[in-house]
Amino acid sequence: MYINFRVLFVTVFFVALPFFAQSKPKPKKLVLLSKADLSIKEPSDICILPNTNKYAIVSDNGLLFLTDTNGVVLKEADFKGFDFEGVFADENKIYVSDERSRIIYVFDYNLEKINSHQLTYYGGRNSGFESITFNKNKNCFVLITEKHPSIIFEYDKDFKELKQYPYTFSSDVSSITYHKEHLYVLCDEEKKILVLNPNDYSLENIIQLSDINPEGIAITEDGRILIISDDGQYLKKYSLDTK
Amino acid sequence: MKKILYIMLLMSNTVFAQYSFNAGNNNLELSGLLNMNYNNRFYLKDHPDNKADVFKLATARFKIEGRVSNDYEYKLQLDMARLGYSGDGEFPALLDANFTIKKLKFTNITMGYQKIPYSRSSLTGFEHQTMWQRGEVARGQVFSRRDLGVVLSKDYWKQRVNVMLGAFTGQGETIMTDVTGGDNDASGKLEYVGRVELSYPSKFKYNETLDLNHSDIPKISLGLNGRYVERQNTLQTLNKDPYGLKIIGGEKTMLGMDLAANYKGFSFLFEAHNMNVNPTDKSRLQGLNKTSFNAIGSIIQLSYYNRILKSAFTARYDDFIENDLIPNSTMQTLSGGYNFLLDGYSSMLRVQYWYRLDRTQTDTYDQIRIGWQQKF
Repeated sequence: MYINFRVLFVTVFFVALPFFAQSKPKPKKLVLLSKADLSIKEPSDICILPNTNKYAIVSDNGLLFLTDTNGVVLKEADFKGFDFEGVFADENKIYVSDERSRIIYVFDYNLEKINSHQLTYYGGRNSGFESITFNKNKNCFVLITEKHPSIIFEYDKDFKELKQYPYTFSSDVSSITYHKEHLYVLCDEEKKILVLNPNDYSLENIIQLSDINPEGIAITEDGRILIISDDGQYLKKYSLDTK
Repeated sequence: MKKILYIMLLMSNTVFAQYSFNAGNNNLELSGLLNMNYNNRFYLKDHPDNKADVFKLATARFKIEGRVSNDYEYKLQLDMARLGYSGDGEFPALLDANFTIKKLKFTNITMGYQKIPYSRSSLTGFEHQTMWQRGEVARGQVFSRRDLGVVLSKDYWKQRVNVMLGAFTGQGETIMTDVTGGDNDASGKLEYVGRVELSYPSKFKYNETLDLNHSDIPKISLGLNGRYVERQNTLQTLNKDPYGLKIIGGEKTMLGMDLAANYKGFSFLFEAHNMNVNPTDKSRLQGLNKTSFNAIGSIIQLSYYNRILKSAFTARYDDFIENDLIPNSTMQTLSGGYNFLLDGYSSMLRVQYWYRLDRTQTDTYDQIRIGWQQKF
């Protein structure tokens, strides 16, 4: 043999190790409160409609649904998009990110489409914006591209781009939500929720999940964490294990 | 070495794997796949040394994929590396030229030159393979992996069940080359293929070769497939059909199964295939009082992915019997693989060592191949 591969492997391992072994906060765990199967195929994100007992859930097939707190469909939007992957609601509007077409569709609470905003992003069609929320600390929308690479984009209320930040805490981003001075970023591949500082997007905490293909996250006023699984087609409610 | 690692780290944070464009309901994506390797072969006996130590461009692929709403999809993929290496005319540079109608409720219909829905290993794209080469039975030397035809597909039960039914020319990859000139066999008959997959607790994509996510819940997928063709003539090409089985004259029935599982970083794959041939060329029956012979092959593969090291370690055993009427004709290979996934599969080191267990065969050899994969 012309090459001593044992030496090559050992060299690669030990030289590379320090570069990739990052120190991160110790992950916290969640306690499962309930699980509900969904009739919605390929659900991809969820948000809570403020001051109601309703959720908005979007699906990969470009569909938007209004559900009760058990995920039972109450209404489906007439408008059909391409590939709905992110959803956020303020006091009277629902904002939906269509990943492939890079369009933000705006609906009212009756699920009537009232507006749309075309964003510009030339990355992979399936690596676009799967996450959307409103960062109250900075008074702007925050969208993060899924992967290859993941980039934090800030937009004003008319979806004019304000600023970009690199995102390096996980291999992908599938959803984001704002809750009480924190941003919660859901990572499908690593099955983690990363808690970020909404001012500088630094990592503050990690919450470990065990769900298959978690694609959507929302947090209730009383701190219950809602997780949507795409492959599992279910909605789970968790509380944070404080032990 | 440190400089190289810094450059690699920088690449991992900036690499764009694809580019996409939108115009109304039309969405177009451009992507590519480059693979270069160094190959070292260890021959058992004197042998022409043309592949002993060589750099090779394994792939130089360019792919265009598009969607029109959620109703239609299309794919066009070329491998430029094959343009250079296809002097023998056996293999087309074209890898995909097909479109899918998705707007019908009862089925999706894919038409054109495409992968044949047979064998999980074959259906898994090269970019998601941990090894440079699939197991012997599934690497395109025993059965055709692509052909021109039509596939009906439908999924059920939250995509856990997938059913695919196809009809193809039966000429395999040669249908797109001068070997056939695009013509069918004199019999005019087609090859029929069917595949059913059952996955639990969720769908199990072909690209989940490694358990990158360290599933806490075991994921499993069982695939059962079969194909049937009846031909008048044998069409054997020199390099891509060394066993003369891919386009053999006579009646050929192939049945196969595959079982894949992922759990806590471990990935397992088992495949078994049996091809029964009633050949028009009776010399293939070795003068025995038989009406058919069998070609049999299997693959057992186990991988482990370490997230801290970004490394995958794979061990594989595969065997192949080209004709069960020929005694002691089993080809057995042990392979060891290593991958360093700098940026997932998008930027990856791939190493494979082949160790032939059937040391009696004079033309077999061990080899090692090391190289890099870059998607763009």
